[in-house]
Amino acid sequence: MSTAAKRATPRFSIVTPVYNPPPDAFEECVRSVFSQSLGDWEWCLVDDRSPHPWVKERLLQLQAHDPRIRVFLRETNGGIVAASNDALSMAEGDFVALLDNDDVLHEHALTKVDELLRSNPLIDYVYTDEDKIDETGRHYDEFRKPKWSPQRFLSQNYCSHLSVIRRTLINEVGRFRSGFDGSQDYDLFLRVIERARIVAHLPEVLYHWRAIAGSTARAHNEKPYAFTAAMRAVQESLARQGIDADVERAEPYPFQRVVRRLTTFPKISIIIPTCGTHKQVFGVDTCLVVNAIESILSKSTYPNFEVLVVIDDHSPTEAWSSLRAIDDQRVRLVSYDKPFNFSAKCNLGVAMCDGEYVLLLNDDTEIIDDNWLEVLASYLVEPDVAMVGPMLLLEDGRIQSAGHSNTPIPHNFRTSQSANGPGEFGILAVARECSGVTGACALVRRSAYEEVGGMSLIFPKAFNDVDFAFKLLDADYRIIWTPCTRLFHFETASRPKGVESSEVELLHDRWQRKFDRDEYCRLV
Amino acid sequence: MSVGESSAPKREKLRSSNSDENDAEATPQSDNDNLRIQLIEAQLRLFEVRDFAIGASARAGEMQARLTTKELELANALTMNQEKNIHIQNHAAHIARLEQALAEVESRARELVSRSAQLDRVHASTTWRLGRLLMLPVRILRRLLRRA
Repeated sequence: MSTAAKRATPRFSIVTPVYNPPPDAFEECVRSVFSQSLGDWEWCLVDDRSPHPWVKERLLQLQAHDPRIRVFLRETNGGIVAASNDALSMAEGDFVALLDNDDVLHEHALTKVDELLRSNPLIDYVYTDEDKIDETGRHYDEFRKPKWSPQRFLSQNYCSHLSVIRRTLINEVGRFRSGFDGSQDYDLFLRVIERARIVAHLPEVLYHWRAIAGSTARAHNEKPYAFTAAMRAVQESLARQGIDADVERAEPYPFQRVVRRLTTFPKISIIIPTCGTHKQVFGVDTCLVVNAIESILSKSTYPNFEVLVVIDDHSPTEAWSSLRAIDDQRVRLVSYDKPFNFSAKCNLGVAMCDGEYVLLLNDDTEIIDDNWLEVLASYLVEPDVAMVGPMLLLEDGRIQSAGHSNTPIPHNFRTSQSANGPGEFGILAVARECSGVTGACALVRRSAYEEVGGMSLIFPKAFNDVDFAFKLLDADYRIIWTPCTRLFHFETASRPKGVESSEVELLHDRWQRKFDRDEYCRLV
Repeated sequence: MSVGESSAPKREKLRSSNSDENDAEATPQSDNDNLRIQLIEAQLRLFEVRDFAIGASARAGEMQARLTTKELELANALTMNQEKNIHIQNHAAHIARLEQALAEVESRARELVSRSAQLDRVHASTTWRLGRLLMLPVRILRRLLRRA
């Protein structure tokens, strides 16, 4: 192909700043680009004045070898942002694919991204799954990412590699910015997603991230400055969008926690269905509902809430009298005289309350944090979020529920596992979109609750929360699980145990197609 | 009593309240309660109706998904069947070719046996023996010449 001939605009511009890569790793990177099954690309390589002379020679050799390769040699070392921007200046493709100089692309990476982009012309940003390669070439840490999860993205740059972005959008948002070294890509992505029409996830590992000493792939604390830059990038992104929020480090993990500040305090009606059960809690015989209410009243700092206790008529007299003895006008009792049906009790509570938000709460729970209602309510500021659930802990501190997962079948995610870690890829350390949260504690926008017909009466004991979550998702709402507040849940102490086969069948009848394909939680 | 307390709406209660409405002694407070109960009951019915509709839609979606899965399975099975049929046809053609080749070999073998028997008969005939006897001096002479 003659270089003099006018080149057609390539589909993809692969952009790679180069600075002293390990020679073998760089050659593997080169091979991975040349072996792409889609040939409609250009590769923009910018040497940031690497001290090793072989780098310059090799780049010029590559340029001479293939007209699709374009090389720019910087005269001074300007850092990754300057080099990346130089590479972007050379790019002419419709889309820009970011590739580090020691990483490896899957041979069909561009082909598959191209197929996805062609399926919907509104897609501006595509990210794929990724894994890591160690010094010996071993692949590990396969990151099966969730589908586009804006809440999670505010806490961690989970999209990362491979990211392919419409070039015009990159130029529109001003390319990479200096001052964000180490998180310059996160800062760019944040600005891109603020304007992107559609962000799409391609659920295949198409990028292999090399983990060598000193790289972020090896450990996030290898580059502490990167984390500081990430926090600032998020703060600025929120400010641009006019979102008033606190950005804090999710100590001790390298993630941010974003909690919106509430300017108004919509009334929250806490609905507690109960039959007045007693249980040993922390070694003490306890009336569960009284314990739950006392913890709510003694700890909650939220200024506008009420508690509706939907209590079975046949509950023990002691429970009735204990509840009647609670000296607080915010607590109301509603008697329920029908056979046990958790859904019916929740619906009755909602029908009888007037809160803008309703919080479904099991009686076998106990509040831990004073600001639990503020934290949960902060997510409902976004109008497409319908439901929020906290981290629920068992009596011994292990996880009772970290949201729902539908893989392979609906269940409480990470039940019985330690709550003292970030989980795989930070899944337990960051607030994120999920496919459902347990009805043991769920703050729901009342309008959404009503829109989907509340809890279904055909699920009197189990799966009512799973069904409810599916209904919300089908109505295009988002559901958020957050570790930013925690409650104890002394599980299944307060109602009949076991699952009716009829409820299992009914759930299959309605939602089986959703099983084993949880797009927000693809970890097994 | 420190906490507010109320009962779930009951149809029986609602009916008795309605009959109260007709009484001259009905109070505005009881009317309000009545309306409130009716409102709550209507809301609960609305929940049920919406859930029924959404549930029906979900079941329809589920049926559609299962139908699509079955269609895909059927299409895959058909493709596999077609591939198997082609495979079987190829095998059958191969077998036919082998059978034809075998028939030819058998026919040749039969012809060979027949020719061999015919040859044996010739060798056993008086004419052949006489001929060999007559030609004996010629054969001896030929051998001597070869040695020389």
